[in-house]
Amino acid sequence: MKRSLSTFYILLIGLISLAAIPPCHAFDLGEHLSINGFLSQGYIKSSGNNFLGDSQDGSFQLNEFALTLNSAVTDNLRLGLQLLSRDAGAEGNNDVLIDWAMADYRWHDWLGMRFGKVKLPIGLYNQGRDSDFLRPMVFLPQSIYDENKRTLVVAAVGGSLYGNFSLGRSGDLEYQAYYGRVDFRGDSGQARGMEQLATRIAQMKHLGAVTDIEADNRYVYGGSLVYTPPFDGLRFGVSYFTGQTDFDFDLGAARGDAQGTMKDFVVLSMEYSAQKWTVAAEYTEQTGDREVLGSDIPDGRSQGYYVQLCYHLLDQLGASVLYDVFYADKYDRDGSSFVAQGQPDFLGWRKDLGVGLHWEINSQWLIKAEYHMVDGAALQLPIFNPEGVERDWSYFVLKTSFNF
Amino acid sequence: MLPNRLILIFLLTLLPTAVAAADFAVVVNKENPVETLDRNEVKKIFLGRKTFWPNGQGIDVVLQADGEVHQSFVLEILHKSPRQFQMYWKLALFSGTGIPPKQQPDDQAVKAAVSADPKMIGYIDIRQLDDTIKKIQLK
Repeated sequence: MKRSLSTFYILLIGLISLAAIPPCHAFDLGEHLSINGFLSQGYIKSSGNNFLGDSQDGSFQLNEFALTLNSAVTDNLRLGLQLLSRDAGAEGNNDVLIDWAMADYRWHDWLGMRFGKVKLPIGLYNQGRDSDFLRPMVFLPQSIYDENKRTLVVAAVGGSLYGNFSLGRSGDLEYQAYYGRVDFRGDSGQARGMEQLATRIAQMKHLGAVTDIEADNRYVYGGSLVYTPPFDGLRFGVSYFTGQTDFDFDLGAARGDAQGTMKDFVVLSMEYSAQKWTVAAEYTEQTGDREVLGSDIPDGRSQGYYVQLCYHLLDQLGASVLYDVFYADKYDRDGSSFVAQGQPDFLGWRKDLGVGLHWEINSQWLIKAEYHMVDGAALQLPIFNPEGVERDWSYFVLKTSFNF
Repeated sequence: MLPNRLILIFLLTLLPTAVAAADFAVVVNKENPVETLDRNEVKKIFLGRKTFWPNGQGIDVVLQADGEVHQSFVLEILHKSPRQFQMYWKLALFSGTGIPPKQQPDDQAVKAAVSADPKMIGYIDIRQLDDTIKKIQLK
């Protein structure tokens, strides 16, 4: 803990020192090396339920700091690295990690290859999810970009193929495909969710207490297609993801194991951008399947969708509205399977209505403020509320970001 | 009378933000054999989707700092606002999928960069054209 914090402060001081050098732009070190980065700090306050951490008391555990290095070695070859330190309530703890690091070889416009740790193209926004200033609201819609599942879907060590094809007068088609393994962190929402589930199963089977959980991702693979029609501002996307992770833990005198699979995670996307406004809508389904201490726990096929509208009232001031819906099981939208297990039905859904403002002070500084009203407690909310969850809750977020 | 004025003012706010129009020219190095480009090809070049010249050499892109020429170019060719264009490249930069093109402060600096690099493409105020660079005909 102490070590990670000191590394974090060294990085923070380094970033601030770099940013303090006028002018505050990217640093081009000669022809081939550039340094960029960003810092963001937020405050979250919720009522009714905790979200991501102890947010009911108000929390500043909401930040990202990144340092990005890029080098265009030749016309075809690029080397890049991004270090990221983040804190999102119970997850992150400002450890400095490699966010992505790759050799990118572009053979033709229609074929390039990336090797190393690559960001995964899920939906239209997953690859940019850690950069707060790239989106109108602080959190991406949770029905698709669930913060608790971030570890499994954000990046993988392996490789990807990418490129784009011209379809002539019909537009363009971009593709990405990847295969790799994820460095699975013990403090991730999924590991904590698995620990909670394993504890419940172990109690039912009269086994010991679950401690010392270790996660080992076996594989992730998937891809995306983005079609840009010859109509300015419009694009459509479809993406696919499947991943499997093994878990191992202590049960007092014995060891126990579990396996979690997130499969056939499909996202259909649409975005339209005019000069003053952007509307985005995405739809998703995914199947969760967990096997814990020999018991099969099918999580069913979840379903989610959202619509987000962002309008620029002034050049620097934008307003956003989000309606985001998630069902834990598309065939059980009223949560009756939870009731059958003696749990509240509203664990089966999460409906988030959010409104927000973002003010772009200049091309580098941004401030956002937003308020969300939520009905339902799906998406792992019990992890952060061991005393019980409430159906109706809300959260307020204030965040500022700087990038160079 | 007053309501009509208010309605008129309200309607005016719905119109696209007026930008200072400047005639621009897309320019390349004089050694570059390319004479014409489709507007959609230029768009793809500046969005990083077309990265090679027909002879197989990589394309080096140079941008101008925000000003009349830059605003006219990104609006007319890329159909984006300067802010949207900037965000497009920041997304590529911070997600590891690309490096934003370098930027020069004015027409003179763009001309100097293009005349020194046979693989470079840029845009300048059309009144600043001279024989140090070559204008591309847009189809």
